[in-house]
Amino acid sequence: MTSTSRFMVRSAAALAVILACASAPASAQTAADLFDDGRLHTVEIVIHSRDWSDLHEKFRTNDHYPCDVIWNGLRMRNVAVRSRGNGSRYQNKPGLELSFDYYASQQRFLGLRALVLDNLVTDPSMIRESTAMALMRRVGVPAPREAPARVFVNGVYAGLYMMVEPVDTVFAQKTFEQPGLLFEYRWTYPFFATFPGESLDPYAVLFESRNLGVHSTVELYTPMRELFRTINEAPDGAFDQVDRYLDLTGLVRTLGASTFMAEWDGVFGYDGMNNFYLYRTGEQAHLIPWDRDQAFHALNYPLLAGVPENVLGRRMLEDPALRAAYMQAVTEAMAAAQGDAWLEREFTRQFTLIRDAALADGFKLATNDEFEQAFAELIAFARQRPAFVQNELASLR
Amino acid sequence: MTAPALGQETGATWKKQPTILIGDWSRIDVHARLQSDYLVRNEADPDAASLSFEDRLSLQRKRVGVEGMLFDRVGFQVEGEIGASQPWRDVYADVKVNRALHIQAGRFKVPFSLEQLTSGTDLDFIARASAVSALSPSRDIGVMAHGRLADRMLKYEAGVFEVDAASRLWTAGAVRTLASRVTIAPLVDGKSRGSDALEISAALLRSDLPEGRGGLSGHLVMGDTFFRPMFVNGARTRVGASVAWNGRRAAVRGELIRSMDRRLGQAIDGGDLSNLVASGGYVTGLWHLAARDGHRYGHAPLRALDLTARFDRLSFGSAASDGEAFLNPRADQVAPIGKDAWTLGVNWHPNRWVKVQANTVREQIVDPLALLPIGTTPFWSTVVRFQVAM
Repeated sequence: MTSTSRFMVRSAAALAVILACASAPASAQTAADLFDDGRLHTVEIVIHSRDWSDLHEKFRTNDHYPCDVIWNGLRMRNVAVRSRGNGSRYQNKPGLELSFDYYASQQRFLGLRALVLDNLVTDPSMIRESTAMALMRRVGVPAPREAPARVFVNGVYAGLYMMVEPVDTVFAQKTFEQPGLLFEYRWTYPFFATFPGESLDPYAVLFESRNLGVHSTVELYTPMRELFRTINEAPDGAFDQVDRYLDLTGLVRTLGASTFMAEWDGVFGYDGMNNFYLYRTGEQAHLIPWDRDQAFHALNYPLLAGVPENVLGRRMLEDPALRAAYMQAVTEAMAAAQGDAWLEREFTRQFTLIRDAALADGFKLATNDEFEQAFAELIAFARQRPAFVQNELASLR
Repeated sequence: MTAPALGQETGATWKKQPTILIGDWSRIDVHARLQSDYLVRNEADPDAASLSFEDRLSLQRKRVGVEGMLFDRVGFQVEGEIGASQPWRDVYADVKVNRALHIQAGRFKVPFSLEQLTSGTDLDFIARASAVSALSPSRDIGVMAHGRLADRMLKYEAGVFEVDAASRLWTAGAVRTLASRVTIAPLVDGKSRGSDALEISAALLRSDLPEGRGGLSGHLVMGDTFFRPMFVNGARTRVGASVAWNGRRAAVRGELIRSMDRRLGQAIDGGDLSNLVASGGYVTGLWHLAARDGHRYGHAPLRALDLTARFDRLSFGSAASDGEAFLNPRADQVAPIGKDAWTLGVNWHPNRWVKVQANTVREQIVDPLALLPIGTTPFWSTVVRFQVAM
C-alpha cells in the first residue's frame, strides 16, 4: 500500500468517526482547540452538490452558499461558505471562508464569526504563512492563529487547507481589548502611502470597512485622511506626530519581523502596500498583518527592499529614534527565530505534520516534488538568513 | 381606453394630451410622463444627511407612448422608457369581440394585484406597498381573455404569460404563468351595474419555478434588502384579494397577497424543503381635501389636494414550523422576517398635468429571533416627487 493509499484509508476512517459523533452534544471546546497547530485537524463540509459546483464555477465571485460544518464532533448548522482570496483564487481548489454570522448576525462558532480555509496554492511548501504568523506572535505582533486541516466536502477529500483565524471585529477587540473600527486594506493600485487628497472617496476604496452596524463615510474615513496627511506633511524631526493616528511602536515591531522574514508583499510590498488591516481605537489605528504566504521569499532578499519607495517607510527610517527601534525589532525577530533553532524546528515540525495530507492532495498547484523542494529551501532560509541580516544591519548602523 | 364619439372628424385635438382622430372610429392619444424624486431624508443611509442637492435629486421615469382605438375594435398601447436598456413597457393590442370577450396579446401587466395594475401615474403614493412590489408580478408577454358579464357587474381576466418571453417564447424551456382575476362591482351606477364605487377582486396565479435562487425578496423602500432570495424549485402559487371603495370625498383600499414556493430537492443534502411562504397586504385611506373634478380646477385655492395614509406589511416564513428556524437560503424552517411600514402623504394637483407628492415612511423590521444585523429600530424616509404627465 502506498503512502497516499494509507493516508486515504486513515482519512476515511477518521471521517467515519467524526460523522458518527457529529450529533454528539458539544463538549467544552474552544477556539484554542480549533487553532491547536500541534495536530492535523479534519473539517467536513456538507453542502448541496449544485452549490459546490457553482462555487467552483463562480470562484471569482464572493457568492455565499449555505452549508453545515463538522469539526471535532461539533456540527455547526446555518453556515455560509464562499470562495475567497485575491491572487490565490483557484478553481480546482478554491480558498474558502466559512461565515458563522452571515445568516444570523449573533451566531458564533467557538466564539468566532468566521473561519478562513486557506487553499495554500500560492505556497508550494504550504507552511510559509503559518510559520510566519507563529513567528509574528512570538515577537509580540498580533497575528492570526493557524492550524492545518484536511477538508472533506460531502465525504470527498478536497485537499489540505490551513485554518486561519480571520481578522474581524472579534479578533481585533480581543487583541486590543477595546472597541474600534476595522479596515481591510484592498490593493487596487500600487499605493506607496502618498496623500490621496481631500476627498474621502479614495480612502473608502483603499480601506474597506469591516464593521458591523451603521457608520457614515465621514466617521469612517476622516481620521484615515488625517493619517495620510500627517504621514506626508509632518515636519522633518516631528514625524512622531503620526503616532497620534497610527501606532508606530506596533508598526516598527511588525516591520522588523516582516523584513527579517523577507516578506515582499506586505505593508512595504514590492508593488505598493498590501496585506494588512488597520484597527482604529479612538484616533489611533493599529496595524494587523495578514496573508504571509510570500514570507521567507529569499534568504538574500534585502532587508529594506520596498521601504524607501514608501513614504511611510522612508520617513520612519529618517527619524533616528524610529530607525533605532526598527533595527532593534529586526534583531529581536532574528533572535526569536534563531534561539534554540526555533525557525528550523518549526518548519520541520509543521512539514512533518502535514506531509501525508499534502502528498495526497490532488488539487494543489505544486507537484509533490516541488512541495518537498520548497521545504528544503525553507530549511536553508532558517539556517542562512540570520547571517545575511546581520550584515544588512551592520551596513545600516 | 374609450372609443371615439360618433360624429368626430379627422384631425387633432389637445385636451390633457395630444389626440389624433381618424374618422369616427379611430383615435390615437400621445402620452408622456416625467417623474423626478427629491430625497429629503433616509435614515437607512448614514451618508444621506451629507448628500448634495444634485445627489438627492433623481429622474425616476421618462416615458413616452401612444394608445388608442382603431375602428372601434382594436385597442392598443405602446409605451417605452427613454434611455433604459430594456425600454419597452406596455406593448399590446386588445381586440374587442364583444363586451363579454376581449382578446389582449403582447406585453402588459399580469392581472393580479389591484395596486400593481394601477398606472404609476395614478398611484396615490410614491412607492407601491411592499407586499405588492415583492409578491406581485409586473409585466410579461402573454395572451389574455377579458370582459364584463352580468350587466358589467362582473369583470374577468384570464391569461397565460411567459417570463423572459423575449428570449424563449414558446420554447420547451419557457417559464409560464397562468393568471386569473375576477372583480365584482355590486353597486349600481346610473342605469347599469358596474360602478367603480366598490370593487371586490380575487386573483390566482400559478407560475413555473425553475431550480435556482429565484425566491422572493424583501426590501426597504429605499432599496436595502432585508430578506434575500431562497433556493426554489417547482411552482409558485399566488392568491390575492382586494377591496376598493371610492367615495366622493374619500377612498379606502385594501389588499392581501399570499405566495407559496415549492422547494423540491433544495436541502443541502438534496432532500425537499417545505414551501416558502410570503404574505402581506396593505390598507390605504385617501381624503380629498379639495376635489379634482373639472369644475374646481383653476378655482379652488389649492386646486386638487389629497391627504393619504397607508399601513403595509410584508412577511416571509415557511410551511414547516418545527425544528430550528434559519435564514439561510436552504433552510427548511425559514425564520420569520417581515417589515411593517406606515406612510403618510400629500398629493397636490396644481393643474391637470402636474402632480406633486410628498411621502414620509416609517419602516420597521420584524425579526423576533434577532437574526438580521439591520436591527429593529424604525427607519424614517421622506421623498418628494414631481410628476408631469399628459
